[in-house]
Amino acid sequence: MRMESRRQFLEALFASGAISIAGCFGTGGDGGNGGSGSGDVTLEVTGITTVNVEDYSDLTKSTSVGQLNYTPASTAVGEFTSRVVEGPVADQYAVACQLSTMEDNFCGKLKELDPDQIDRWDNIPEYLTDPKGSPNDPTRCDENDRLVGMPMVANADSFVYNKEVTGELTSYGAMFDSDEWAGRVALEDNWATSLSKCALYLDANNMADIESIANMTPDELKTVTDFLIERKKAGQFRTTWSGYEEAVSLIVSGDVDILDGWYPMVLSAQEQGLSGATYADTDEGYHKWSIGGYLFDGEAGNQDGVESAVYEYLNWTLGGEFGAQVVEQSGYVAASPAAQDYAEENSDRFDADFVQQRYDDVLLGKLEEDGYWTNRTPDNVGAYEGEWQRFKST
Amino acid sequence: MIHTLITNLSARLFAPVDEQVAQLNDRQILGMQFAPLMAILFLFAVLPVAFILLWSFWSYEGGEFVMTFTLSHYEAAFSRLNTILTTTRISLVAIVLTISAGYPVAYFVYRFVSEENRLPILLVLVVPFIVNRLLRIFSLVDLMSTRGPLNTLLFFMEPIQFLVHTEISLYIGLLNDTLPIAIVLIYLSLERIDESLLNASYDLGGSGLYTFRKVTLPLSAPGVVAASILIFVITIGAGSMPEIMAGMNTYTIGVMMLSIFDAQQIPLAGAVSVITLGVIGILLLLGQRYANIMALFEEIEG
Repeated sequence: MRMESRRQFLEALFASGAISIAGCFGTGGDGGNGGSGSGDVTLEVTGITTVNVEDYSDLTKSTSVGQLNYTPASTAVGEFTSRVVEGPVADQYAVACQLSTMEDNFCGKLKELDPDQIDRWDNIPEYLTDPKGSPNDPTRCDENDRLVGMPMVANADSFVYNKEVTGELTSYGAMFDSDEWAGRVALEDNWATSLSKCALYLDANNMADIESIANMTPDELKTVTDFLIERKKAGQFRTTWSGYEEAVSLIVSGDVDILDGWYPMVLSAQEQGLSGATYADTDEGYHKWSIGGYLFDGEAGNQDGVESAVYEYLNWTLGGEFGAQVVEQSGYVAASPAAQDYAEENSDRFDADFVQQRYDDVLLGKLEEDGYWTNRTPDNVGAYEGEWQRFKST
Repeated sequence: MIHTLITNLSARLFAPVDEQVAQLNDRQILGMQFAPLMAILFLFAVLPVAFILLWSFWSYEGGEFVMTFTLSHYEAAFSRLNTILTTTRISLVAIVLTISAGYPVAYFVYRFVSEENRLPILLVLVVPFIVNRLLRIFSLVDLMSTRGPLNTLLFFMEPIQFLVHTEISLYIGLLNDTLPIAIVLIYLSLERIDESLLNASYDLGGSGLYTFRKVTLPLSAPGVVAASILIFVITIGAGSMPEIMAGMNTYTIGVMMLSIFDAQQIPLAGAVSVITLGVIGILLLLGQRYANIMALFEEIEG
């Protein structure tokens, strides 16, 4: 998931300078941490830090990838898209790891993906490659139905809360529609999540009739926003957040007890002493998302040996080592369940019980339950932003 | 005629430099002196604004501008006038608060601190700026949060909630950002005051307060004006500060811009910027009409 959202935007602004310099010298960005191995291909990858694991030695010793350089990139759709379409990103990097559905903005810069070159493709649950009911396919370009992406990491989002204060919470109602917790809630400052989660709550509780939560019409957005404004005036929400550390700080400091947030925040809050930090299992369902790997059809991606190295990399991310590392780092899951057995076999390095629990809970559980698949390129994106602005300025 | 033109041009171009300069008139010399400055202004001020204006009338699709004229972005931007006016109000209040807090500190340093100790004290005020801005913001929030040090110290009271995630906390944050600038600029203008003018006022029977009102304050106006301009520029475009420190009911242009860019509504951002410039322009006109603010700039020239 887009981790340090705005903070990463700020970091990416700094990193974009590094990108330009890196492009000039053909070296990696400042996020690279792949060791040198027996292979001779240097792979340049850019994307969300969620996918950037700490240890690539297993990849570099077993494939033609000698070095993997990972440059963090913003999850802000506009910023990343403009850098790909108008900037040098598509030539400087072989792979983009971004929130699925964002790729529709730069399909023309992507190669068609050949799943036959990925041995573990069939390990990916079908709902990730072809989510039913989703308005936006995470692996294919809308404009020409080309297969361009492979799911890498996924999760089912709900919200964070302090169980020691609130007791167990199982509904978005606690976040959006509860006088008991009025003034104790923080929303993410993001129209893509806050409006959609509220829509999920309204639709599931028959308070609104929404045909497609991930692709709402202007009228549906207005209905959701009217409700949010009503609750805002009632004092439901204390503040919004846009940075990861900011969100964790909000709940750890006690300024809020319920936080529209991401699973890793629970882990961070617990590390900072908030033992009651819990991620909600919600009756209405989940805000589901995946991060996909997309191959740029540019200079970096077309160098000798790089394309085959890319497929080796993608295949590796469907293996146990990558999957186990992702769970340990963030609590998210890779797009294949291989990590469960792998963590068991390598219990000296991984918490096998935690890995097992996360895959059972998410990949084999919540991602198949009710909710919606996030869509970063809705048809009425202007209306989404406009309604969010209307909510915030009221 | 062409022969004459070429001959004259050649004579001018290849004449010795002294002779070339001597042939220039005053207007041409002035133009050459200002040319580098004009070029910089054009490149870094005029050109960016011109692009913003142009973009505000175009569309943006798939990461590229589509050069079809449209006024739809202005329609959307005017619907956000409330946010623009709110941000302007916050900036003006920030100026008043910062100058009110900064002037006494600057005056104290100027009036009561010995000359050899002034610079070290001013450096102490500036040192916090070395710390990363986000870190300063987070430390402020942490300090005033529900379980932060302040509320921990005041354990005998109900936790103070209004110091975080409210408009008040935003002003505290903006003050933290702009106060050192204001103090330094006002101090520098105070230091430029000719002491003989102050002595003359005392000699003629003026009290301390009278001298301050009639001599010191007017002569330090350039520093106040310069500080006010900087404070306004910093606060009107502030994004991360309001986003972290302000609560649900305070929405500023800087925060709105982040949302606009996330939705790839770049022409809308341009339209909002143009309207903001317009609002500032109207404020300046009103300020000149009713408060003769341009006279303050004459103080700077004087």
